[in-house]
Amino acid sequence: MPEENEVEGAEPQDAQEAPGYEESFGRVEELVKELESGDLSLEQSIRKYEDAVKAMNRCYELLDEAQKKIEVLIKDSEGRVTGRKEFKAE
Amino acid sequence: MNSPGLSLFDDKRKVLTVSEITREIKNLLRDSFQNLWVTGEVSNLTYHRSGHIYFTLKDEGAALRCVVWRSATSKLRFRIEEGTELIVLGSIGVYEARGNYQLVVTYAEPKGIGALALAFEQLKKKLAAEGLFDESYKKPLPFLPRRIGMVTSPTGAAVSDMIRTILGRFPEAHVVLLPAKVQGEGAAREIAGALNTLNEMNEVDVIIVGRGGGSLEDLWAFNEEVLARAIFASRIPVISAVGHEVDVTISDYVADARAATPTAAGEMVVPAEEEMRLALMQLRQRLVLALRNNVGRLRVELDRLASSHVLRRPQERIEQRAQQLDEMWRRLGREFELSLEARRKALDAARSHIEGLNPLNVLARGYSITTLAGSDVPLTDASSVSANTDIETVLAKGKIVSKVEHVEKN
Repeated sequence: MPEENEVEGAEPQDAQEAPGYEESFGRVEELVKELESGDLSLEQSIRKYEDAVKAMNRCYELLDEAQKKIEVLIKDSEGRVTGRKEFKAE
Repeated sequence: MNSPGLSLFDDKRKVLTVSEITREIKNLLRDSFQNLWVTGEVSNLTYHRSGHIYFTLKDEGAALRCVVWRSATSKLRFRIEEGTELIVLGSIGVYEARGNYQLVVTYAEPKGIGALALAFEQLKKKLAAEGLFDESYKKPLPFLPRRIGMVTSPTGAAVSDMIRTILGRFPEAHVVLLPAKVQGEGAAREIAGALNTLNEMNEVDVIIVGRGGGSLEDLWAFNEEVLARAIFASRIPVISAVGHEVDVTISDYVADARAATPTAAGEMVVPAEEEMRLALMQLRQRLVLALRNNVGRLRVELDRLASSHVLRRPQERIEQRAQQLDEMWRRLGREFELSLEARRKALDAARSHIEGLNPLNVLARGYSITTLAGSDVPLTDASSVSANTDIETVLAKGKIVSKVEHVEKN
């Protein structure tokens, strides 16, 4: 729960999230297999192709949005986290 | 000394009282029986509710009562069990009131196996029986974690090895380090606390907990119950990376995954970005190819449609299908991400094929569709008509109504 002196950091994970990488990649594979199996109508082919492109774009989105950040949390004597800063390994 | 009063004998014996003899025994033992190492088998064991531990050490010839006062019990790393052989360090104490003596034990270790090794076995057995090591409780690691948590010492080779390995595989990784002592008094509790904190903060998708190599004593925190339970309780998947390949700790058994070394943990926690991009590219190529094959098949079907049964208002139906294919090709032109060259070539080739198959173009080349008057069904066999039959012929432009003169069969 948010407190007075809350540590500035990342948002907690939402319960309802856009699909993750594995899920999206799996979806593209599934759709490609369906298109490869042939025997689809024109409408079905177009629809599956568009869904595949959408899922593939999601994969690229997840890869491209990652940004390098190496940080260390600062603790007080009771072990509570009071801040954070960039971490430089020796 | 002769006592006063009537006595027939002169008592020259030295007669000690019970207290006197006991005191002499006590002094004697106290001088000679301090800080001795003694070995024997445990029996009559009592973990008393006062906190003191009472037992008897015995062998075939004798028995010796022992006590571990509560203040000394913290030095024991393991639980004393009935029937085990011990090596103890203690001093003899004499109890005048009860007339007995016992060994006050200040240190004990199991004979044959180290105290730590025994403690390890005992805890492993206990937690395994509770199910903490069961596969069914192990959570899968996220394939592409958004944020990687780490609980380890901020100095030393382990943390830099892990970070370097992670960045080598996935250059844009986000790592959150919550530092903790990894050996010594209170280390296990501190690491356990850090795990709880990361779970509460709910920022990271996965946690690596571990340290570099060391002796059994150095790694001991990772064999302690408080840490094992904290790992088990973690809602976020935990990778245990302690020491080297040969060091297996209780934490390794409880964790959702075990890395033999810190470097291995770095490889386990994050995928190789290059491999991912390659896989995506290959999948994209398959997608494009699959779609083109589908369109090719549909072209063939349309071809068949144009040269055989055409239902009501043949021209309109064919036009409709041709339009759909054209539309599809336009979309493909927009969304294809092939190289410009390849795309242009492919599209040009495809377009001219389509143009060739478009029934309207077929008709434009001079072909026509002939049916019986008032029928939809195109004629393919001259013997289905005879002289004077009324027929209709659909051209690219307009329709001819005629009567058959005569028929020639091929």
